[in-house]
Amino acid sequence: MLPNLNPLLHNQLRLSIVSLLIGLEKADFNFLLKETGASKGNLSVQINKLKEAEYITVNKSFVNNYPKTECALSPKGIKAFEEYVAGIKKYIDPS
Amino acid sequence: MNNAEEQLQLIERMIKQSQQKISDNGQFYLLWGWVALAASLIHYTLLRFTDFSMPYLVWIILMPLAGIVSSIMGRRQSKQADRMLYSDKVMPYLWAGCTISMLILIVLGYKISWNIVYPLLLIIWAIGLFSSGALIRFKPLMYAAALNWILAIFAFFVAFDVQLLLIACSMLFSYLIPGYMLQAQARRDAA
Repeated sequence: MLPNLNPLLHNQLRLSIVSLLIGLEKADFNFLLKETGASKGNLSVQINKLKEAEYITVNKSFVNNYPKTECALSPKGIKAFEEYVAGIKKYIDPS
Repeated sequence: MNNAEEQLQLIERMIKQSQQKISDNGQFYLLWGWVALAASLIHYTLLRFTDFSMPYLVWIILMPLAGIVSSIMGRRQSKQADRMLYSDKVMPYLWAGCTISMLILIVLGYKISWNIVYPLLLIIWAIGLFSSGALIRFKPLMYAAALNWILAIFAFFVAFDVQLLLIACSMLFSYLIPGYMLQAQARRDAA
């Protein structure tokens, strides 16, 4: 166990979502689904948790009559991710 | 939950996955390359072999048409894309900036001399190609920019009709060849 790490990001799928979004302006739900290999239901739940924490913004629209959900990391999410990575690095190299 | 190293590996893997595959499929280079190649060759032919008084009309007709098609293609592409990289966001602004600069030169070209306008257009194209190549990490576009700069230097020393041939040459090597290379790469990535 790694104490003192942000519990919201200390979850495999949520960390995957945020790591995918960190290098992108925005990404489609289907892209996140494909790259994480998660189930639709689980991905939706975790996206909602990140959204409630204001780590990501979610924009829903329709393209050619199909729903399109786009996610993007917010400044708050970027800061949380950076702090999480810095925290992990401390565990690996405490000096 | 996993240990710290595993978490870091997961982060690295996901970042790599988000960045892999160049999203550019070369369609804009192919569109502009073919249109400008055709325009420069038609202009050259009309100038050299006919007594048509306004051969430059071909640019005034073809370029706005390409602009309209290009913006429709861009809008469709961004709607269909499954993700947007920082480079995808910057690219339209870069080329819009180049286009505005070129339009100013074309409209006010009579104030200087047409013999200077075309080499300057080649220089602006080179800036667009060079920056695009760096943004999508695709070196052929950067070599294409270098070629454009060389052609621009040549263009300062040759007659106007020869400049048109230099522009045609630029379109072939700087737009069409990298465009087809990008298209081939996008097809390989999709396979």
